[in-house]
Amino acid sequence: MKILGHYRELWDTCGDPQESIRDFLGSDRERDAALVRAYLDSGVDIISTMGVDPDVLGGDHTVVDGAGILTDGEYIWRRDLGYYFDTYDLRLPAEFLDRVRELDYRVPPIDDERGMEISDFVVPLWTGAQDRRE
Amino acid sequence: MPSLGEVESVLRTVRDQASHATAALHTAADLATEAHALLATALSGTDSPDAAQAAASFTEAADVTHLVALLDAARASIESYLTAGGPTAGGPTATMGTRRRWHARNHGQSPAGAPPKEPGDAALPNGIPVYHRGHSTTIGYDLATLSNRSMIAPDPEHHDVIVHGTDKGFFDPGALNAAGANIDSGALHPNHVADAVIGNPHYTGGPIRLISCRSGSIAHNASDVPAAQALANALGVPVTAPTKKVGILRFRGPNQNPLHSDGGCWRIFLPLGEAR
Repeated sequence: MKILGHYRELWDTCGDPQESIRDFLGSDRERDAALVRAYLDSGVDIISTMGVDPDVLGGDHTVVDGAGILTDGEYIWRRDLGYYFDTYDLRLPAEFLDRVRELDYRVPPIDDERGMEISDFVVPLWTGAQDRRE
Repeated sequence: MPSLGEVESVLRTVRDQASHATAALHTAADLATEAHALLATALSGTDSPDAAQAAASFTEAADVTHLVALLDAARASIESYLTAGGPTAGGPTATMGTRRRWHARNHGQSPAGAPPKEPGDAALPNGIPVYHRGHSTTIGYDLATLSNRSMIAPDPEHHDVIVHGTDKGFFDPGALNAAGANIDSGALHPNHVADAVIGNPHYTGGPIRLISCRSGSIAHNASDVPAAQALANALGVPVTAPTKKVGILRFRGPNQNPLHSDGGCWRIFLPLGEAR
């Protein structure tokens, strides 16, 4: 399981992110950016939160459940990652973009067993229990 | 006149063909780029105008950005229409003059709200529905709010209030746009939340538990008290609220306890002063 967009500004201390989102802004816009955005927005819900999250880069926009966690079975990411990708031309790993294109921009279905496996991975990370154990 | 089912079938075919066309354009662009590189290598050292013109043509052929954008827009528009479950007033079967407005309203990122599928038991002054249950009051109808409402185990000691929250001293109910995406309906003062709770005939005046992110905290640059404190003051009862984000696990199903993010916890706010 890989964390996509594991930046300090978005993940607080969860999983001890080392990178800043600001170091990944302003890349050349992907030619299929609209389809990648749609893929990011249509990930399968792992955690649904009761918050409205501000733009950490200072924009006026907010994202409902922006801190919610989505997955495609191989990657997990925050719900608002698609917004940053689309608005700020956020650079995403080439291997992720290759996967999205191979899947024809459609998130594969996640069965309950796999959903629970991913949840078991995400919970200690998201709640900070993992950090407290270390 | 075709039936709506026939129209949707055609739209799905067009959407799929747009997807194939996009992939074909990408392949053609890659081939043109390779051909350009080979041509440039083969002609290096020559100054033939024909060679320069040929190289320019390949470069132009490789630039399919505009065409891909058009196809993406067409596909997104169709996807929004199909996701919304069919035509709304002014949908694609309406007159040509309203097409742009229809797209603006039905696009996935549209900020315009659509009516909730489940009517509320009451509504806020801005039209956001309020749902009354025996153990909870829910404000808003975005997907996260509805998931939390259906999956959180009731707490016998508290009446749950489920609404999107902030650490700025106010709440922020969620809604849905016509494409089914979550949208922010705007800031909501705790007094309105108090009114919504009092309007629930099942609420008998006991303590409240807020299922509302960061409503038990206040940002360092906000000049107000935490939203939970303001609600406790308005209702005159203790309010328990999370200090950080709170949510549920989609795959864990009903009757689960809320999760706190990043080491967060519950805080209890006692009412200060006279209730309203």
